[in-house]
Amino acid sequence: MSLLKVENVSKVYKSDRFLWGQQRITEAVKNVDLIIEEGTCLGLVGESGCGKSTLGKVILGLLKPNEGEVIFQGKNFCKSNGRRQYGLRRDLQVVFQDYSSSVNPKHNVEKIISEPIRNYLKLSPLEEKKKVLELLEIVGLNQNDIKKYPHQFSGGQLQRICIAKAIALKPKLIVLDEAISSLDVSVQAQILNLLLSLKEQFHLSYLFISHDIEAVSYIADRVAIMYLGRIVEEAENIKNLEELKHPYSKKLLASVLNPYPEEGKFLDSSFDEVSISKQISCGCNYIERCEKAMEICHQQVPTFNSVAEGHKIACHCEGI
Amino acid sequence: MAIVIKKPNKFIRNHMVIFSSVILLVMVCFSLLAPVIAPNHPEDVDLLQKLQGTSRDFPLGTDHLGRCILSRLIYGTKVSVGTAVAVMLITVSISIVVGTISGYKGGLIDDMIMRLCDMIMAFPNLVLTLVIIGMLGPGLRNLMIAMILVHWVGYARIIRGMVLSHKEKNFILSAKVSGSSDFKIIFQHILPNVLPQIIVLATLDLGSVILHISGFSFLGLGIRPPDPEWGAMLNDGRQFIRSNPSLMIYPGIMILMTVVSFNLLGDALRDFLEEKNY
Repeated sequence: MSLLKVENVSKVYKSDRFLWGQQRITEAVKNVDLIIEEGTCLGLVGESGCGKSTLGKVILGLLKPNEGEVIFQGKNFCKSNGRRQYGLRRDLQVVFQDYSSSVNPKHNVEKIISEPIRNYLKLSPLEEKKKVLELLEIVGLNQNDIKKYPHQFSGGQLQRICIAKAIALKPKLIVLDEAISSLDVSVQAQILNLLLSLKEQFHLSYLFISHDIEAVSYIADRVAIMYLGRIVEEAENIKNLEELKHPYSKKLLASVLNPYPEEGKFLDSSFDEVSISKQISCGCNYIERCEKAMEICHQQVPTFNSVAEGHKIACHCEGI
Repeated sequence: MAIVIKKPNKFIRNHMVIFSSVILLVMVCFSLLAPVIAPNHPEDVDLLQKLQGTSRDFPLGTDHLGRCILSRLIYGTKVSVGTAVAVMLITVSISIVVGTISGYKGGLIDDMIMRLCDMIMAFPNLVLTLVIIGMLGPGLRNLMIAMILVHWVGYARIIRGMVLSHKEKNFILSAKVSGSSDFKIIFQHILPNVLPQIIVLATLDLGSVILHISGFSFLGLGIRPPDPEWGAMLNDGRQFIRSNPSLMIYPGIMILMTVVSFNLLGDALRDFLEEKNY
């Protein structure tokens, strides 16, 4: 049985209707299916505003999906009662992108990291402190930092504190919601390596949400590409990124900087952004940016077909 | 409550805190020990001695009815400061409970509470207070009830707004994921971030509450003459502002000192509670 199963999940945001004004509806996530096996890392890639974080929050049980089910360890989180949810939460943790708002400025490091420990394990204060010190050491922070407050740390250190809090209970699944995006490159590498070694050490599973396809290829076992709320491509074994086929994935790949200038690769500088047309199109929603758009793309939503072993794609041109 | 005084030294070392605590301590002594400290009875009328300057019998002189000003100031402390502090404490407690529930729970409860607030806020404060006193009848207790009923609304709105702004922050989500209950989230994460600002706001407002009470006393709705009260004294002295300005200056100084020391204390308290986060 897989650890996490997301089945046909949709999440719609509705704006409040003001007097006789129109109610605005934003489809953040649309018919998403995902599976995360134990001990693996799924990378979820997409540009800003494509619904990655919403999907993460739905998985964490912070948002209720409008449609579909999230099955974690064989249980549906949203339909469980309070006690069951409390039990399931133990194996589910999160690290957010914005490290400065992820920690309560009024709490010191000990209090921040010990929060989940206090909620689930009944430890004596001394054992609790020992545990916090242990965690600090795992994430590579100084043990003297235990009494410090969040404003005394740098971004990378704060992110390490958040990671320490997330792994405190040795959860099964950690949602890393853009966990490294707001750090600078050298720190990104440190945190990535830290995450990888923790994964080995504690047999963790990650949902690694990012817009940086390179970082994802480094850490993830499987990758899912998301565009405007839908998964457009999913590939196992992504060590070779060139195998990604969807036009959107290709565009994402083209945005990666090449560290070897002698290869003479140029960055694709044709910059465009998500544009959602006013009319509801009945076809593929990538159509307005797609260079290969055909007649059929306007008429039919592409189905999610597998093109190779563990490689699925939703595209009329590249799919079968 | 999650607010624990950890480093009392740092708090006490502040000069401003010493200054304001001393003043407030004097106020407390005044209100508790008035009969012992005051040189004369505050309501003894002696028309032969009216509007006198400083003398041995009357350290700060006498008013237009020959009553000892110092004694009246000392006796008035209990009413002026005591009432204002009581009104403020009850107001803030009510609005913290209501505002937090409203902001955190949201939905129908929030809508109902906020519409009630809108209803109360639709009338000018002064008018509404007058109406409530009119229904309850004049008197200090009824004045306090009326002021609380009118004042809690503004605070509840502010607290609700602050709770709302904190509710969506990542550390609250992260606390939820860590398995903290709503109760724990409110007391450990939300209130410690909301209270410092509210404390400052309340201490800043305390001055205006003192003045409000004085104003209503002037209208004969709170304290009734001849009971001593700073605001009432201020109003009595109005007629003699040219010939005997001291009638207004002394109560004015008392009100000023009280307001300033409460503000300084509030500021220091906030600095202390905020633990230097920038």
